[in-house]
Amino acid sequence: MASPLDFQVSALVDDELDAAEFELLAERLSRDLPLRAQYSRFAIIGEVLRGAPLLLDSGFAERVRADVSKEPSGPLPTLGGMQAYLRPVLGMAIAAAVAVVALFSLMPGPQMPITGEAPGMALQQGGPTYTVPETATANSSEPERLEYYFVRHGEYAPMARKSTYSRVISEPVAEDSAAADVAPDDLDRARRSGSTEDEIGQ
Amino acid sequence: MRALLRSLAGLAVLSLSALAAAEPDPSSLLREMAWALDRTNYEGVFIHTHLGRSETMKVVHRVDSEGRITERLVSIDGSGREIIRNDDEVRCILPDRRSVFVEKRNNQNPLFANLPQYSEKLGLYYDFVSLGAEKLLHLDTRVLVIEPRDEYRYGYKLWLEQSTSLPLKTQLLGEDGGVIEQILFHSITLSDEIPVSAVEPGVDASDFTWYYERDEAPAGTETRPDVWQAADLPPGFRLEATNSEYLPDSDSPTQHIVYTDGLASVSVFVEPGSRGDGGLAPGTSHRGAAFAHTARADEHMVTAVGEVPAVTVKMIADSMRKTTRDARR
Repeated sequence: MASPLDFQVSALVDDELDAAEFELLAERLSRDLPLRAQYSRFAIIGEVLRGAPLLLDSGFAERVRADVSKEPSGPLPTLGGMQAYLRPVLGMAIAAAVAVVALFSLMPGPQMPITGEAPGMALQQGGPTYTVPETATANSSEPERLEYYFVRHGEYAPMARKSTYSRVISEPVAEDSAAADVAPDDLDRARRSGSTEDEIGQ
Repeated sequence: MRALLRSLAGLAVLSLSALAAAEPDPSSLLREMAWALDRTNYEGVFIHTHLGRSETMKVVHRVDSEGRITERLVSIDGSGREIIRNDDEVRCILPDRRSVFVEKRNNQNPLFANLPQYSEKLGLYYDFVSLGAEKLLHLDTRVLVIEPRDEYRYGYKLWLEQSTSLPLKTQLLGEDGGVIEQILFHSITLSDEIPVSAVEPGVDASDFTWYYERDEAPAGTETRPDVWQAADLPPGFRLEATNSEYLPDSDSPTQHIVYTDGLASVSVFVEPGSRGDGGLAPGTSHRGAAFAHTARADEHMVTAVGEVPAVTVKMIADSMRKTTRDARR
């Protein structure tokens, strides 16, 4: 259910606010981080719905084709042999594609020091692009066990890399971070029904 | 590395040859997608929609002239969280926790050598349907649907850009074909070269607490863990790999066991104790479309997790049994 504020943000994206409304909403956006995030989403979704083209470089495939044509050529394996030929290659490709979220094999236990100095770390040119808000927790906190499990598993889920990434770094929300106990049958039923494509967007 | 690059180039030739064909077979499309995701320099913004939420993410994937990969994923919805992965390590920067988690990547890890593989056996558990060409945001794509044949796994619908096979849109499908989750690229830019600065963090984490992976067991602690295996697996799932890992706040090794059907995979974590050092309680939980089920067995806590239906993780977790060490493979 969209709130009046949702409509206001949507109107801002569509440039349909009058001056007074704009001023009020802009002031609120300046101090309301979640609302700014929502504005960002609406703005991007708006562009998508308006048919803004993707920025894909159409000449890329041609350049790849030209590059690979320079490689030494030889007889290609037959289908049966090709699978064996491809297996390590594909394995490496998938490994690199999915081995991206093994983040929490960490040992902050009492028996062994687990924290250390921050290494030298280059930042984006021009300095940080993100300012840590003052509301961030004063003390650092370790990952929860279940969070560790999900993240550790993501490394071995070839079809779920980006979604696992995304869940890990999504802004924490109580519903997900709590990962509350649920009745499997109820959730499976919900999964089976899924959403319609209209509900989930384009 | 040279051999690998030659092999990848060979795969590229195969991929491009397949593109020239009228309608490539689904397995070729999957191979091309895997290659494109790995070997392409690209920057993009995508929207991840799940259970009524949507998150906007930016991803930068850089492959240097030596074939080394660095990838940066950052939330642009406000949290500032980001993940940066290269050949040596993975860093997760969490400004809201003022923490950075670092895991060293170790190619000797037995799990790395046993990643799920696409194979003809997948046809026993999924139907692969090519829906042909479709325009998506002014670009030509090939649409591939992977439908599960039972209730133990999800399906997928992929829109692969025709010239590159990059997935511009990916949907996770429920048993009846309904959409559970979606990733939709809003923009994606391919480049011959991406500057190093594009994969550097945007957060100054120098005063955060850094948590580093410990790669050795504590002195004097048990280093030969028990062997566990599932007595009852969903059709098509097989043991892929096992490994011992040392989790935070535990001196006992945790068994990490991976089962896969080739596309979907389930990790099982077995920790000593009746409740688990992390305070896990028996039951089922979820994060988006990924499920976890925890059960007690032989004074251990057994947790199965995966991007699969709840019934799958429950079946596997509930059937895990301890065997003798002599039976270890």
